[in-house]
Amino acid sequence: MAGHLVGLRLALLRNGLRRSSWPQQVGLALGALAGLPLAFGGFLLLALVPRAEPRAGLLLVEVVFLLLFCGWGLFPLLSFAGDASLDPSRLALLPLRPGELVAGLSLAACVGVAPLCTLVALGGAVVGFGTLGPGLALVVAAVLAQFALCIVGSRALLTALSRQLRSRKARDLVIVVVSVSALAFNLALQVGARLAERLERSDLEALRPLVRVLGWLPTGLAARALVDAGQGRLLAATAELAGVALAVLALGWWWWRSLERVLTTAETIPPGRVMTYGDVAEWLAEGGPRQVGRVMALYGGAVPRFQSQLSSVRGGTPARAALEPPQLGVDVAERRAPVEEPQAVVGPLLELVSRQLAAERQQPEDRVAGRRQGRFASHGPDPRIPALHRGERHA
Amino acid sequence: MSTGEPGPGLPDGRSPAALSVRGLRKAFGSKLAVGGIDLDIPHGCFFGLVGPNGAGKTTTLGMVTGLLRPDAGLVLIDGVEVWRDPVAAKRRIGVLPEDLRLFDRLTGAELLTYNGLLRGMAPGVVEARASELLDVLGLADAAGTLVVDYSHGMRKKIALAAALLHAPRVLFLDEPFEAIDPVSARTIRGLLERYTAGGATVVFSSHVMELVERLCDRVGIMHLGHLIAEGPTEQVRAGRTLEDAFVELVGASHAGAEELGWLGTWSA
Repeated sequence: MAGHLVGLRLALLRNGLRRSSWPQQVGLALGALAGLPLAFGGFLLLALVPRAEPRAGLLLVEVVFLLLFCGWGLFPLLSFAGDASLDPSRLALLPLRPGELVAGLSLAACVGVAPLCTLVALGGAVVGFGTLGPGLALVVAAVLAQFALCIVGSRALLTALSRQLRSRKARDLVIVVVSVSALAFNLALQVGARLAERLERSDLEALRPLVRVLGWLPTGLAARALVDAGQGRLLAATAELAGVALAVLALGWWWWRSLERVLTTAETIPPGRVMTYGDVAEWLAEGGPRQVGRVMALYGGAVPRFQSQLSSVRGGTPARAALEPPQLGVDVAERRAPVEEPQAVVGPLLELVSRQLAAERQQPEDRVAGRRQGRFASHGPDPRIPALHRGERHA
Repeated sequence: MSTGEPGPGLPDGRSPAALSVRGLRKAFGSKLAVGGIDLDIPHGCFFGLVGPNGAGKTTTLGMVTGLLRPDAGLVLIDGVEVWRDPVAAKRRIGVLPEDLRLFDRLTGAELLTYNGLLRGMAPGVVEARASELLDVLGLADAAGTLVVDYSHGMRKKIALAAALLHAPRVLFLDEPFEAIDPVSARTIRGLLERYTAGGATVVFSSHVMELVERLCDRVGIMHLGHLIAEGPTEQVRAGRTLEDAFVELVGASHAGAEELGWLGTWSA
């Protein structure tokens, strides 16, 4: 069972790659390359700093573990709509128990570039803290416990939110998430800068409270277990590992409950959801509905499977459509095709509209689309990228 | 995995039908979608569920297939209580859902393969059946194409293939013939008729009355969340065409043409 779910994930990843055109593949390769410095940077940081500056070791590990955990929580939220393997409702028809699914999907989640990079970075901690002897096993266990925290926590959050993520609100949520994570990253940088400053003055005492607080988070427990195991305090390390295991179990339980809920609340009557030209303009943060409509009227033929509906309107009423400006001569019905993923439709549309808006204003490059590409390119080979660009193949 | 032994049947002690429903009810907020349905469908039956848009057909199908938890009521499939053991029930049924939420970054062949494997079927069996289904449904040429590149009709067909792959005892199809070309529709009709002749049960919802009339031994007409007529097709029709019976039963709540008189006054 678990093996088949891993196979399924591999097939989805492989097809995502296969489907891309060569510029996208270059982009994906660059994305994967961007993951490498992160992975090896993390590896070196965790491997070298503790040896050079033993007193800073615990704080460093606590911060890195927490950031890793947060990153694992946030990034899948951004790629959810494009990555079918993250959407548990697609398994709803199969006779699988939530427990089996949790086990199988956990294993499947360990496959991919991001897990690989994470493991490489965490491997640095083994080098940095491991000493030959019985402690080494506990050091490795602490690293694996941190990895499990990341995987299970990320999937639990994703499953709990999967219903919302499929809706139009997801866009708003993603914006919030991006802002918050940017904020958090800034904060982390500031903390890092201050930490470096303190280190120079060899004034670690002032950071004691921070170390203590972080130490009681699940990631902090894993960090403490790692350090304690490295320094031979095996009993303490074991107790802390037990704490982490409890946290993983709690997250797993949350995941299991969320899965059960997701699998038994099929969205048979979702509200009608319609993507309007105004929404497209809003997505682009550029132009207005009329400009988008005009671009579509002039160049709409280049969009392969254009559908005005974001997601097929099932049982609902496309109320918003009535409020929208006239569609300016675009033959919607002709190109209408039911498409599941909003991105599959919106992607080519966005691309076309943004290109034309940019051309009409004689801007060198659309900044929104550029930024969006950059964001996902840095996230490794993400099936969303082909989704955003599938227009090119059809055109 | 438990095998989900057939239960004792309904409280009134009848032998387990293919599908038995008692007091099935579901509300979304203050809106009552399904307001208490009782239904028995015998084995080997070709059952058609019809009703106007928003009558609660899809909600009902969701509840009897274990995809949507009802507020109240009992559903037995082949004697297995669906909401006590959804996994055992899902093993006995095949579902063509309305929204076709498939892993569409798989090829058609891969989609069938993983469906079979995740259902615990032997790889050899899965492979043989998948290629046969792809052949019969005219998808053999598209077996290596990603489902995301399929047309709507092809998606319907691959989803139908996935629903048939494990040879379920009861097959639930939501609008199976919508967007399907006439040639494939004929193939699928033949396939389903052969399937029910072998003792399987097919429950499908449709808006195409002629089709329901021609195919189904029994029909149920839903309106505003209630089953307002149910029984052998002949009996429900009562000498009329099914469409006339349907319109009569669902009533004049659907506006007559005279209210839209302005449609005859041309604007240019």
